[in-house]
Amino acid sequence: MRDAARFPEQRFDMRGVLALILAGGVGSRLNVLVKRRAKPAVPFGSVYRIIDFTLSNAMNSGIERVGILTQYLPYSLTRHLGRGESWGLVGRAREARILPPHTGSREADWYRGTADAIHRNRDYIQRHAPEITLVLSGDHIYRMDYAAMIEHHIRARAGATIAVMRVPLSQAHLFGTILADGEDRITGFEEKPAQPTSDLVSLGVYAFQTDLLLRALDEVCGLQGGSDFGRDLFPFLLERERLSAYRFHGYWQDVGTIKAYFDTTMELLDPDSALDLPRWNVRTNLGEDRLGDHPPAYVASAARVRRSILARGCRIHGTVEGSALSPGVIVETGAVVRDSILLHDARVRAGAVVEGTVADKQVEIGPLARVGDPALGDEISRAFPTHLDQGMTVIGKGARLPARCRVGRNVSIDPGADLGRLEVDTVAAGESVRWEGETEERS
Amino acid sequence: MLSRITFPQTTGMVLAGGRVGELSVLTLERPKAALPFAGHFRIVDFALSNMARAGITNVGILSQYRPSSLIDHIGVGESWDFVGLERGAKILPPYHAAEATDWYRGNADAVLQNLSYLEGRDTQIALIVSGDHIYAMDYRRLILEHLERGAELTMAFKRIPEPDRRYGYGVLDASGRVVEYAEKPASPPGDLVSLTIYVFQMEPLAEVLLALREHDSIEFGRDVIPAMLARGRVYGHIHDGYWAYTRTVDSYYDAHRDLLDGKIDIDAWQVRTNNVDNGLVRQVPPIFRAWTEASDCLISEGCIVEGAVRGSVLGPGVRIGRGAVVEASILFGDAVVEPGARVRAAIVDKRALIGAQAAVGIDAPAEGGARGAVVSAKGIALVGKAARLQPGSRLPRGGIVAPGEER
Repeated sequence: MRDAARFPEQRFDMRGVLALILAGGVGSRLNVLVKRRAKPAVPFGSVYRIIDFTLSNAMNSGIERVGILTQYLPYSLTRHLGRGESWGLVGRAREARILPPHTGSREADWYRGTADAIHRNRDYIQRHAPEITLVLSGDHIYRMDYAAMIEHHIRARAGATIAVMRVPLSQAHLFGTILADGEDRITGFEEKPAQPTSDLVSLGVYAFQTDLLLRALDEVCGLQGGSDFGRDLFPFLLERERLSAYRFHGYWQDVGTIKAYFDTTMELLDPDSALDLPRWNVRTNLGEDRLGDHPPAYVASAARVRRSILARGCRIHGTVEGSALSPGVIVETGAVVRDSILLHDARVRAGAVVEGTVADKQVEIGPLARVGDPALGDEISRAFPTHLDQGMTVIGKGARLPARCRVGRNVSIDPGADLGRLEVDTVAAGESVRWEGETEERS
Repeated sequence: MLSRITFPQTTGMVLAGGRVGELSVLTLERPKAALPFAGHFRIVDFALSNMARAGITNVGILSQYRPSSLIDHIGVGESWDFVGLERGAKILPPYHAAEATDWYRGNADAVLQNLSYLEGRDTQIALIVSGDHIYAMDYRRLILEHLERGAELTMAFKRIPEPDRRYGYGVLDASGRVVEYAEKPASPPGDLVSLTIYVFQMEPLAEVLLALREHDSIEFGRDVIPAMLARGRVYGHIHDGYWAYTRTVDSYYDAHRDLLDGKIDIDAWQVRTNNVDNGLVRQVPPIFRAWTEASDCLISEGCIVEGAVRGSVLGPGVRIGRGAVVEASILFGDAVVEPGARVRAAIVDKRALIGAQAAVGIDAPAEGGARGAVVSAKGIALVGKAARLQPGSRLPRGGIVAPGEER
């Protein structure tokens, strides 16, 4: 039976397509959320991780073979993917395969760039021998029918196709921009241009004729020493092959900064947003960390929950407004959580007030503490002035804030930091709390 | 401590066949064990999770009445860790024997027909439990007591405050031996009721069942326990934790109130369910809109709450429209309450639709309007699976709408 939420029946047989997901992104502007995990593994939307959106797009597009290229802190991703059964990727001809860097015949070391990562898995691609290979970034929140893109790719008789979206010209400098003619044939590239001349930006979604991809990778990575799709491979192909732009008109969002991460999460609460999760058929791995074992969310008699998204295992005794809570979050009596994101098993003790804060898994906020306290000023982060400047405070995994402590806005607190042991009871706006204590890689 | 003991080979059997007419429209299309409970769980999850926690890795599920929902739910048993070398969960429906088509003739007959399942697993102890009850019990402790006493059968009892003819009653002597047992007696001999949790030594069980094989029907309470009592080594274990009997609409409804009051602790009890069967893998986390009022409630994945929900339990994918008010009710998966509707003291089955401005469980019942036996003394209204109540329609307290019915 076909799931109603899947994309419409396609003409092209997607079972023959191989998708490779680049899941090594560091995403450093997500601050302490990426200290112990790669960007695609960052939790999003209460129960999901960012990579679930790309994996679910693949599933909903009918793709049955997916390779996931990891590198940076891969442990949480590896656990998350499991055997791939959450996305229907287990079976005789179906698979999800983690492709970590490996020692090969040549120099054995880390992936040096996006194109290099794919090139090092040349054997894997050849073994599957797909006619078309999709290369996907695992970093974005979007819903795209890859089959529609591949139909465009075939109709355009392109060697490679890049998914593009129109953005305001004022923002184009943040992306790689693409110049295309009236028939969507690509005529040039600009990588994060200071003065962009095009408002078409690349979404990090590429379709290739596989034989062309392999030949180009051999040339660019092997002979010329290049290692990146945007910087090296596409400029190389531009002179030799027909490259087509596939115009995407749906929802696509890069959640690369804490502010974008927060704003995009808040879109989930907006019934008019194009980010319409109930219709997107996004899947995640409920077996991970026993996520599926929780009972439904419990809202107590004295609680108040409005304009929020909860999750199984949440227990709410206080007030929650304008917030997204992940499984197992506890908000005790008299506590207030407003305009915040609390990840798995975070706990807000009685009478604490948390505003404008992203708290990672297992953060504990002590009784009567005040976090994101506007009374402590509006100074931007001294350590991260370029991305902790909008007021959001971010607390790393497992950090503990003692009773009655006060934490201002634009604050960054390291994973595991124990403010009680550090004898910190006030963190002024724009300050950071570093912690070199016990570390663990998993997240 | 317990984990150091080597237990005899124990096989679990879950009696999950019963339909039970007293649950009215709720069990027209499913066995009672498959009835949803606590949002995204089913009742049988409690017995299966008790088995899993006790480390029992081979479990047969005896099912006869409309077993498909149970078959889907149990799947290969992965949710309760019954998958692996020498592990397994198996639905044991009636089958065509060489000589006859044998529908189960009573709950003990179901075990008799599956003796080969027990024997094939070198079973020394058969742990036979009802799949219909809400409780947590450490079966290992029960088995340990059973072994220490050298019992042939140990059965669990609970003291109940108000005698009720529906139960089986036991009388124990000072050593814990069962000296008397009466099934559904007119006047109960005490306050200890059987919880349908039996630890049997395999050999006496087989002997007794085989001796009863010519009977028209074989029931544990009526036939097997008296026969075991006659052999003299039947002991009782008194359970003092929570236990709920969900055989009537009112007891099923009350158990949900207990759930909201924290008497049933899904987390502490480690109750597991099948998240593929209940659709949780498809559901997004519950969303509460700006004008929502929610208190004293359990809200499952996939719910979108735009109205008020108080004292209620919502299953997966329930939609509560703007301005709707749901109070003291239980809504199963994908039920829809349209804007402005009111639902009070009702159980609304899967995919049922309550139209805009409709009122369920608000009006007093019509004079002498009860059709047949009263299903709920408490006046709980029942809306059957996929039933549709038109906008503005009214279903009085205790009213019943059949599955699929439109009105």
